[in-house]
Amino acid sequence: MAADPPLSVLRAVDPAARLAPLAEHERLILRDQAMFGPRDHVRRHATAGRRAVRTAIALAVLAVVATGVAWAAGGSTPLELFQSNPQGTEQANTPGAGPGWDQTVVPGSVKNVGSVDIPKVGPVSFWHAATMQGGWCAGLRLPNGDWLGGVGTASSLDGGGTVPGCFPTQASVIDGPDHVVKVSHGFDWETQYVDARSVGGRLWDIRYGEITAPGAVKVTDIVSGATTDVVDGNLFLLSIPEPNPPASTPNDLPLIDLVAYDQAGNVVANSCPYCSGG
Amino acid sequence: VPKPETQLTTAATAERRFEQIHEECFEAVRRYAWRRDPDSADDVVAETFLVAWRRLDEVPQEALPWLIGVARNVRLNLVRSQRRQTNVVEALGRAIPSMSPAGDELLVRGLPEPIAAALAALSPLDREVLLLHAWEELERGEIAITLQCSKANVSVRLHRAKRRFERALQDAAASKDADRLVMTTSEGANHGC
Repeated sequence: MAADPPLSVLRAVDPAARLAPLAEHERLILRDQAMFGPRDHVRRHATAGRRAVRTAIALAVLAVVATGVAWAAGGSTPLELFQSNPQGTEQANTPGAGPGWDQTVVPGSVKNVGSVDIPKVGPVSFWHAATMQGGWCAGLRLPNGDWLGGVGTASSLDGGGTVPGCFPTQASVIDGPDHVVKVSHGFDWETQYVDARSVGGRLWDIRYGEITAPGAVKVTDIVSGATTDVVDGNLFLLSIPEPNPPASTPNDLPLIDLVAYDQAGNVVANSCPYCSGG
Repeated sequence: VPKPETQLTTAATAERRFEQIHEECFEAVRRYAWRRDPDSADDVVAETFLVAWRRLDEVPQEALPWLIGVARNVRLNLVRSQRRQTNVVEALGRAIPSMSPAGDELLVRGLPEPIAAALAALSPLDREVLLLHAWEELERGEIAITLQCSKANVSVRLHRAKRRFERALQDAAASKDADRLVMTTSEGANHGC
């Protein structure tokens, strides 16, 4: 035995060698049970297929929130929000979230990147900060000081989206230099919905975050045509009007395909290369 | 060249992709969980695919290493949870079975003694790297995804684990030969009497 290679020895005693495959009908039952639950509703990088679920859940959350429940981060300052880091707390309690969610905000880096003017609502501002671990913090704030994203707000304008707080960079999570699978597309973005229908407006999807590809000066959603300038070298904030449900069924919501251009008009990043031929 | 992130444009697309992942990877994930602890395997597998469904956008094209990484985390969380429960039982003064921090005694249960001992002599992470390579047949890059560490780190650990495992087996075999020699000599002496 001593002369056998270790792998041969181990494979000869593989405990699963005698494990028969599960009957197909049993596997299908387990599969369907897994799919019965909702897809992720507070995570990063929603795509069109998930947004309807997210919106539905957000509306359900709003029904609770509207009863007067106010969470701890309500009305907090940007620094207080990032220090309390609701996103990191949520991830820390999620199995399989992976490492890197314990981020610490750099207090001096907190800044207001800019705002988008949402009709019937007013300016929604994008707050950003760096973290000591190389990640970043982000949150969107309504004119009355409430934060979007299901934390600390009783506002009917909050249509759901990314829980605010601090994140490891997308690159550090899934695009490390030694990983085989690369998924970087040049953007590290988040999303929030502002639902202004109760005040006579419409539903808006606000995309914001960092552009990791160098040289970007402009960001455009090539599906809707919405466009914005890049701020502070790599940050952007873009508001995109959404069809108002239920006029559009959830799965018919249009895709959002963010493309970043450099000064010469060359594409330097595309969030969804296969979405629309962009 | 970076690969694009998998895009899930509709609910139907998402469902199709999940069904494909489930069909292709279910048995491999089940075997991974079963090898570590048959008693908790069903729970680990179910939780793993729940996570996969919820986070389908994040599942890479090569899904298996990612899934096994999730299964590993789920299992470790389960072990931690069991330990918390164990602590409560201990506080109540009841007899409880001993359990190592990583629940690794479950891993070596049922294996031949020299192999179990050789595996137990490795560090938990070295052991995991070796077994992911031997039993799950993952390559180094895939193990790096599973364990969220670098490929270089996996290479170092795999090389070290193989060497130490082989040496431990040799030591065990030598020890057994020595025992056999003593026994033979002793028996011979008895016969001689």
